[in-house]
This record gives sequence, structure tokens and C-alpha cells, in this order.
Amino acid sequence: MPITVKVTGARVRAWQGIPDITIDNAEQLEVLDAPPWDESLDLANHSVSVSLPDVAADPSRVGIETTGMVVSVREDSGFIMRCTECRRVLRDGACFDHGVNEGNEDVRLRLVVDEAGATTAVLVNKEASLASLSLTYDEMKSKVEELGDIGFVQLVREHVLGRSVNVRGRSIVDEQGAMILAEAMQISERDAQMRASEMRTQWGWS
Amino acid sequence: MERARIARQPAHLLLASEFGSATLHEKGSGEYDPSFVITKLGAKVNRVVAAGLLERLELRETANGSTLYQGQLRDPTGLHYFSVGDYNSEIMRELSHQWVERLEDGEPLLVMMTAKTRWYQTDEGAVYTSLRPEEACVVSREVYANWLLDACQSTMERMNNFTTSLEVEPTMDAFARVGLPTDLLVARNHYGEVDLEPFKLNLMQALDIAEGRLEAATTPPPMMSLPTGDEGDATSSESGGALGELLLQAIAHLDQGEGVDFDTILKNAVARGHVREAAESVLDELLESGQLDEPRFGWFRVASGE
Repeated sequence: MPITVKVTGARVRAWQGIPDITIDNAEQLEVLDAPPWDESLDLANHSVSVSLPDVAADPSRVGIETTGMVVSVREDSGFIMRCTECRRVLRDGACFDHGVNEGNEDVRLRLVVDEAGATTAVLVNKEASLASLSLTYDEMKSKVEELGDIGFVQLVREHVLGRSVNVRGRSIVDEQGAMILAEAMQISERDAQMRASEMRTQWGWS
Repeated sequence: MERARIARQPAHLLLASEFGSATLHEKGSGEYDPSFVITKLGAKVNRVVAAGLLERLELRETANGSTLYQGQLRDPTGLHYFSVGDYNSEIMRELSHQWVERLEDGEPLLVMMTAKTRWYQTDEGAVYTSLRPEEACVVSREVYANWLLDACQSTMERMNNFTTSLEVEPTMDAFARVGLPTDLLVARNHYGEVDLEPFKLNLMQALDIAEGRLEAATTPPPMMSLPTGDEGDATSSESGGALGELLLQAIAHLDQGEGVDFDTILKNAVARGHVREAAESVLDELLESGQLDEPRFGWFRVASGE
């Protein structure tokens, strides 16, 4: 393990960007001696870079990363309670489908990231949220206790609003727009001085 | 409830001179249709990300007893006017309250905001644009500088599109064929001839500030007059120094050997938020004091100093 196989003549469907391959009989499978791609490719951690306007225009995809500017940190970022049955976010302590329940605590950031006239909602998962804020779970707990829910949201804004970020995960695109479920988020560290002189050169102003 | 949700409008990066000089707006016929401001460079914006030095913020009582914060945000190209009212989120009003106090203490605040654009026309027919911030925060100099560069890049793209469009037949079809935004055609039909020089000068200034060559990002230049009309001409004498500097800089930048014409100079001053009449009188002063020459009527250049 792992075993690399080549699949031919199978049926392919897809839902929310995740392909679903149905193999009807064993002849459709061929076991390969070695992967046909470069060994340096780490499939467990592989993503393709896609421009944000393409993410918004394309169908749903998995394994993508994209870059844009954070233009909004929604007020329901921070600690949330999820239904113990279906993980849906509880509203007033109740799930839409499963009624009142005590819920499981989770952390997420709900952002809006725009680029070149396109917009996407970005849901950042717990690990990526904490990592991008350089906080541990306990540190975040005490921040929220100190500042309140909205005060914490404002702290996140001070950290990311108007800044360029790179997010990695999968996209869900439907008639409501595009959404990225991010499992990693990196705030771009950029050197303004260097960028400015590059722009001067590019524009012939140096 | 089952009505399809209206798609969120993307935010655009606009410098103050481009937004402030826009006079065109567009609104759909439906009650919930978004409204847009269309700029001279063809940006069609319902929402912007703006940033700059918070230069003024005041709490006002309105006629119906509600409260309204009115403020100005200065970037290297001019001023954004914005207001925060009862319709805003609690945190936005709370922030405004805090910033009023911090400003009174003389603290320089670099502010980043996501804001909705607003367009209005006075009874006299004058058109103004302003912002209604949705979210905002204080940012560091480095974050501001990078935002400034992002905004410069967006502006430059629009300027390049504009230049390209001059060679293209002014029809929707022709614009679409070469991949130009059709909003640009709408803008060109409304604004007629647009002088790109002030925009170029703005970008040069913004690059200087992003690079830290000028301190203007953290030290506010003298105030300009507001379109409220209650200042009279008190500003012309007190802003003469900075305005004079600006004019000298602009003329030096724009001079291609034969000097710079009167109109271009004044347009540059206005694009940076100065009053035209004030710029005229400062231009006169510079001429009288010998800092400027007028090699032929209506054309100016910086005096050689020898």
C-alpha cells in the first residue's frame, strides 16, 4: 500500500465537485507497478492553484487554492455550536432538523474574499482559524471571554481585513454563489517597498 | 422568503480621487436592485475597500433626532467622505465613538474599511459620492502600504483599459470583442474626454507613500475645504503652502519641455481634493514670487532658480 490503479470504462458522476466513480467489473481495473506521476507529488496534500474569478465561475472543485483580499469578517465567526446529529450550526440552541440539543463546540471563521470583481464566501475550519490567528484553543477561549463575541470578531478584522490571503480547500458553487471550505489559510506577508519598486519598473517609471 | 437571494456585490479597490470625481450612477428598476457608482475609468462599484488616514470624525444630530457620524478618510489622492448612522451595526457605531476620542487625543489612525458606495445630488444639481462603511478597523502602516499598492494596480488596469478603448469603435459589440468591460463604454459616453494625467500623478504619489518616501501617510496635510460650504474661503490662505508644493511637484512631473498648461495644473489640484479657485490664486502667488515661469500665456514651468 498504497496501490496505484488505472481505471478504464467506469461510470463517473460528481456532486459538489467530488467525483464519484462506479466500477462495474474487475476488468475495468489495472494495477500499476508504480505511479505514472512524479514521485514528488504528495497526493494527500495536493492542491491546484486557481484564480478566484475562476473559482467563482467554475463548477465545484476539490483540492484547490486561491488568493484574494478579505473584505468581510462575518459576525458569526468564532465559537459556534454544532448539532450532535448532523453538525449543522445550531440557532438559539436548536437544530433546524433535530430540534433542541446541547451541541458540540467548534471554531470557524466566516469570511468574504474578493478578487478582480469576483466574490467568494470562505469558511475556515477550526485548525486553520486558530493557526491563522496564532492562537491556541484555550487562548481563543479567554480572548472571547475578555472581548465578547463581537469584540473577538473585531479583533479578527484587525488581523485580516483588507489583507491578501491564500486559502486551500474545496469550493461549492451553486446559484447562491461560490463558497470555499478552507482547511488552510495563509495571510500573505508582502514587502511594500519591494512591490512598489517592482511596479515602477513594470510601468517604466523607475 | 423563497425569493432568490441577490448575489453579493464584489468590493473594488478605489483611490479617493477616482471615486470622488465620479458623477454617474446606475440603479436597477426593482426595489432591491443594487445601485452603482460608475467612475471616469469605468469601474462600476456598489462596494469598495478604501483606506487612509482618518482626518476628521464628528458626531452630528440629524433633524429627526437620530445620530450620525461624519468623517473623512485621506489617501494619497484625496478624500473619501463617509457616514455611520443608526442603520449601521452596533460595532461600527461603537468604533466610530472610540475613534472620535482617539482623534481628539491627536492619535493618527490609519483606517481600512469595506463600504457601500453612495451617490447624491444637491438641489443645485451638484453630484457627490460618499461611503457607508460596513466593517472597518485600524491597520498598521505596512498593511496600509500594501493595500495602497493593490489599489494602484487596479487603477492602472483601468487606465490601461481606458487607453486601449480609445482605439476601439465605441459600441458594446466592439468592446466585448476585444474584452473591454462594457461599463467603460457607459463611462466614456457620460464623461466624454478624460484626462489620464491626474490619475497617473496620483499613482506616482501613492507609490511614493507606499515606499515610505513621503510621510504624508501618517502626518495629515493641511485641510481642504468641504463641500458643506460653511468654510468660505478661509482655507485658501492656510493650505497655500501644501497646495503650492503640490502644484510645483505636479508641474515638474508633467512638464515635457514646453511647460504645463493652466487647465492641466488645475485639474491635478482638483483631483487631489483642492478647490479650483484656491489653486488659481496659489498659482498666481508662485508666479509672482518667481518660483514659476510663464514662458507663454497660460503655460507654466518651474523656474530654473539660476
